[in-house]
Amino acid sequence: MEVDRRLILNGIVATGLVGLPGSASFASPGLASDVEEAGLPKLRTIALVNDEVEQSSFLQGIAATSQDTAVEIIRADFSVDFVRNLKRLLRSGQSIRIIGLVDDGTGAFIIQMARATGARLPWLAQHAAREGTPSHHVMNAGTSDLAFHSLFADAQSWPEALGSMLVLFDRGHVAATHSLSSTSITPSLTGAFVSFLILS
Amino acid sequence: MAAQNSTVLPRGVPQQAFQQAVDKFRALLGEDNVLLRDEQLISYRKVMMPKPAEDFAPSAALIATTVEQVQSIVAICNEYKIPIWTVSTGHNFGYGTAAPHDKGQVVLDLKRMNRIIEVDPVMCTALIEPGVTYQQLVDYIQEKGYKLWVDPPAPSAIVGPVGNTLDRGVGYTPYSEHFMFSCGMEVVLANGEVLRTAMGGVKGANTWQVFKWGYGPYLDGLFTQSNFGVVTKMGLWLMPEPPVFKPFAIKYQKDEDIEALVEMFRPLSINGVIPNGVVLVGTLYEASATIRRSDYVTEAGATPNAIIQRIRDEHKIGAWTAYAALYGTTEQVDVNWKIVTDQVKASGIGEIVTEEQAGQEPAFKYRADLMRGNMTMTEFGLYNWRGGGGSMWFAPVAQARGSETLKQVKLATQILNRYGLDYVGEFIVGQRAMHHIIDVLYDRNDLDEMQRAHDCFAALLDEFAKQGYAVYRVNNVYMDRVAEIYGPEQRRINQTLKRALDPNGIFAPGKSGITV
Repeated sequence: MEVDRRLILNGIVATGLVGLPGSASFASPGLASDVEEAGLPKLRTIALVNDEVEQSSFLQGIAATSQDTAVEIIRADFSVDFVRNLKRLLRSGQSIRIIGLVDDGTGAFIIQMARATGARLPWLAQHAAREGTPSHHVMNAGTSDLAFHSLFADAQSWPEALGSMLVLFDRGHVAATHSLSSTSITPSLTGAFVSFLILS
Repeated sequence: MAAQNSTVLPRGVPQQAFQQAVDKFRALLGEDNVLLRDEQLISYRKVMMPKPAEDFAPSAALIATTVEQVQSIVAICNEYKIPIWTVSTGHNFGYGTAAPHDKGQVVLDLKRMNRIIEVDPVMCTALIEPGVTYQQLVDYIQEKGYKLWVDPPAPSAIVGPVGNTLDRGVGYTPYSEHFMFSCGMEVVLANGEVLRTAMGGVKGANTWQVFKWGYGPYLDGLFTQSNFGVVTKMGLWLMPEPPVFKPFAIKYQKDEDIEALVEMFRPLSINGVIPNGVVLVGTLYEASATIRRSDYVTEAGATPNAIIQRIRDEHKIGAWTAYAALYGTTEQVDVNWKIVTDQVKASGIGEIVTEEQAGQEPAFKYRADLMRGNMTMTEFGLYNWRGGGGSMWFAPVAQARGSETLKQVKLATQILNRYGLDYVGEFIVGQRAMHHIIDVLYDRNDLDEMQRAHDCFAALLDEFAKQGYAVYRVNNVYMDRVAEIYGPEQRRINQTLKRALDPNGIFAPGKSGITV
């Protein structure tokens, strides 16, 4: 099953599918910021990605798990417009879940913007994947590092397992992702990244 | 009662006393503004410093919005001996971000104390609160139609003038020396009194934001890079928008060219021909706007010189690129442009690049934006050069002499390479002195590399100190070490002031190496 068809079938809102022409970013004039105007659900779930993460299996993991959830995919970047719109979104008073896997530079200011707007971060982790060997550091003190580490770190495709886990993270169904087996044919992720779940 | 981050307490404060203080904070601020849960506090310990994040875990964070709340918080902290670490926007990237000095300190987060109290378009001044960001101030100025510029540091949009000025940060326009272009402060002292410095102490004065010095000892400096009070308002001077702004770059191909280019730029800076903070950018700093190290090499260790040369050749980046700008009327800019171009031509080295020639080239646009006071986030690309979230600014001061630059670059490169890290640096020239800004970038995911970065920074401090050089600002991990370098007399005076102004030591213990 091709990636894009599977994403649509699982209900990911096509405000611009990453990897296809016209991927959405906060700078896109067409992206609705008003929930009702867009006909979007009251709890918005957003996947924030950039660079090679867009092409990775992270989004597949989200798609595989978000059966009853519309997920908007937004590309993070270094534009001032992105920063302004993210801040506006986090301050909008809407209930928003942002699941993200981005590079270090973008992650640096996104995390601090979450703090600046009073959002909560039930999940924050750093990942490095160099020469095929990934390593993960989960920052949350409220749970056992080891327990969460094993939930995705041992998976054949950690980005896919991570995406899947984060969709369910704050809903008490984390364990369900452990058996996820990747059918991904996307390239493996290399580099350093930050993952987060932001709730506002 | 919300679950607490209960394993973390302020040093020397028993659980019961802390809980009593928390109850009083809640009664004062409301439960939503007393942050205790890990999901609320985790971002305060997302650090770039070479120690585990847990070492910087606050016990709580308090969100205050008024001076009266700050006064009441101070009273509670005195009662229970709770140490508080104050942040304005908390975006002090590379110098500690929003993390307290010690585990367990309570963060006093002034992000929502963010009123723009006044902008005077005639006097070109502003009076603002700590939580105001540069973006907020720019939006306000534009909305009002005022022809005024701001001078942000590189992270621009999300950082704030008050916090950056209190840490004596610098920018890139003619108003680059931020503390010099501040005027008047309001400070909550540890005894609860509110001090308005300089002309602010005179009842009915309208000169608080126009005349810096006031009468008697100049107190404003005491509250910069210190822990003697909580600043709740600050006056700023804003630059009138010039009729003409002409940014330009000059590319230099050889590492040793920096000596000649500094000797050329210094008189132009001192004589006012080039009025802004001229930046001399090294290859890797310039490259980071568009390139990652992993595009060229994946092995650990310092990037080989052959690779650096390849980057220069393939991306047409000089060994040094000088960015500067001219400001003024058409007549003024034309005269100064002729002076600059004649000097460059006479030097026989350097290729001038104008804004028109640069087109949409990202590195030039980034620098032009900074020199124009525009908002830009391009600086964050630096963190992707090596990846892994580690970054510390090593920023020694130098005389604005060519010989000093090369000496410092060679020393820094030698030490960084010894620890398997890269020289990623630039100089900001301010007439007689230069800030040498080096980003010690490393991968926090690699514990060995993190340890090397820690040791490297310590070696940089020590070996530069042996040559008579010291940094102008530093992150939490090294504040004590830098205070040592500045000598026992300064430490004793700072401690004397601390004991007089904050006898219970509640304000930011450890900041700049100062404790009671």
